[in-house]
Amino acid sequence: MIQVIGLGKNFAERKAISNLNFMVEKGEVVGFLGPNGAGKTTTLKIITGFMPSSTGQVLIDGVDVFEAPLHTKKCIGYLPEQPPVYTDMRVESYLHFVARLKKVARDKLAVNVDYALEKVHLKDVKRRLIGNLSKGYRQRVGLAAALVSKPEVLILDEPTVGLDPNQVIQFRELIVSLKGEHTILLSTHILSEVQATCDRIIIIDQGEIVAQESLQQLHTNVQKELRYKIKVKRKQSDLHKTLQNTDGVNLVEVKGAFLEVSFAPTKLNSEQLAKIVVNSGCGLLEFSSIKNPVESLFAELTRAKEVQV
Amino acid sequence: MRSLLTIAKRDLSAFLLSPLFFAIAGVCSVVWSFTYIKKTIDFAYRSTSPKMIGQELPTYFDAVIVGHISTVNLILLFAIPAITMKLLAEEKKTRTIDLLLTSPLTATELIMGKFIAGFLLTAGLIALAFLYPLFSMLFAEIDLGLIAGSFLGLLFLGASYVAIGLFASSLSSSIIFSFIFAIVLNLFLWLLSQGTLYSDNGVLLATMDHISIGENLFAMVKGQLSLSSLVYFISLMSLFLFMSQKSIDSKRWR
Ligand SMILES: Nc1ncnc2c1ncn2[C@@H]1O[C@H](COP(=O)(O)OP(=O)(O)OP(=O)(O)O)[C@@H](O)[C@H]1O
Ligand SMILES: [Mg+2]
Repeated sequence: MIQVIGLGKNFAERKAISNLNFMVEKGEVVGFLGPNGAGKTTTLKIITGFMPSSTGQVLIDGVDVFEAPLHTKKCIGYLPEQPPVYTDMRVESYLHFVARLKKVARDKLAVNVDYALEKVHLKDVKRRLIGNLSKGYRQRVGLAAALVSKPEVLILDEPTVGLDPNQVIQFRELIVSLKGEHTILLSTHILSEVQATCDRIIIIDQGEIVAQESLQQLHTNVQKELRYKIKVKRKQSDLHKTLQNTDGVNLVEVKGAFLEVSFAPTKLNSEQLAKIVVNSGCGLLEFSSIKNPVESLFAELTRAKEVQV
Repeated sequence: MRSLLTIAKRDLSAFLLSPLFFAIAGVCSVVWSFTYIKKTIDFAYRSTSPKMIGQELPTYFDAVIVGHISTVNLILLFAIPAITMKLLAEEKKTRTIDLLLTSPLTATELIMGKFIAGFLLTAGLIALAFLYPLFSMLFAEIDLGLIAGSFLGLLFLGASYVAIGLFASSLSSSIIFSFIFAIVLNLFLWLLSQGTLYSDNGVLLATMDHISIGENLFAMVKGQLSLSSLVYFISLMSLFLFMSQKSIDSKRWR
């Protein structure tokens, strides 16, 4: 449905993204993950036809976004980083306006606006002035605007920023309910969001794709490395050195009061590691594994990159 | 076409719901009331003055209405930039431009939609300005043809100012910049005719007269609905609309 081929973008001399290649199949929900400044927004803006690429092309359902922008823009619903709402309009009339801009047929306008209001739970505020709504509600109005034309493709740039925890959960349910109907590409740097909603993730860092796989694959890949955090009473730096010199340990890091140890399970297991820590006589206070696989992968991937540079 | 109307309708209703337009219209009518009444009183005074006995009196149209149109032009030169300043600059400032540029409409439809909204508001102001001469018709004899010609002339002038203002608004996300730059452009075109006072180069004079807004406006006011004035206003308008369209498109192609 979305095909990104050799996509690159330079701002003056600065490279924002280079040679991105990925596909999103029809009905798939894909998370676009990366730290600040990785190039997520830039990529999404090119896909939506907001700005052109420097190199490469984007196809929506086989149609180039720059050769037939009027066609592709019609099938895309886009929620930019900052919701593009008019503060002087009321929620309902704003959604009507967006639906007309998106060329929704006249007889479907009311139905579609109702659908969007319903999906994002905005019925109660539909007559209110957008300027008087809170930030989270404006974000929801932006989301409703992306949905109002019932587009085949949804591009959401950090959709849960500004939502309260309750809303974040509702948002995830919304994405799950849209699954199948729409093809969804959403960007985020909140990892749990990706885990909760996406079939597949694409991790991007410094304008390049560093990983692109299904969540299952990620889980298995992460098994290649285990991470533990350790808290000791004294002589933390001694333990740090001991662990660094232990065979099988890949990395030891100081994270606040904890030492974080990553190691290859093929060479070392947690029992052996615990033994080493206890024998060091530093007074073990806490020893636990770091569970979130995507999170650790994310940290690993972006760190590996820095080392290379 | 539908997108164009959608854009125009939204901008128009946003304006009519905001106090800005009414503030502009209010200021205009205060200024015009004052100057129009003063001109009328002066005219009445002169017509009855003993000094004027035996001399040919100027018509009411020449004495009052031509002067009024000159004042209207002067005020519009500032009032129209205040109407057009937000048209595109604000969309950029609030990032609603993201919505417009990712919707299935062309830059031309977007610009023309904005232009039509700005023009309709301007036409409202010009209609307001013509309430004064219409009111005078109750007690003075005025040629309706001349009034109609002047009205048409001002509409063309207003449309040109709207196109210029729209261009200024397309350049940046700063509303203040857009306002000031539009006034500078308007003043420049208006003052071209003043520059000719200090030159006696025939070709230069003719050229300046041709590209000065004032000369072309008064050609129409004096009842000479000349093709060249029409062509002048239409080309001025098209030029600035074209440049606005390019300016929006270059945002896409940046
Ligand atoms: N208009 C622009 N002009 C110049 N540089 C830009 C522009 N837009 C983005 N960049 C640069 O391109 C790079 C990628 O930016 P982008 O906004 O795509 O990052 P992001 O992944 O969306 O980050 P975040 O998570 O903070 O939203 C950054 O280095 C940024 O400085
Ligand atoms: Mg971003």
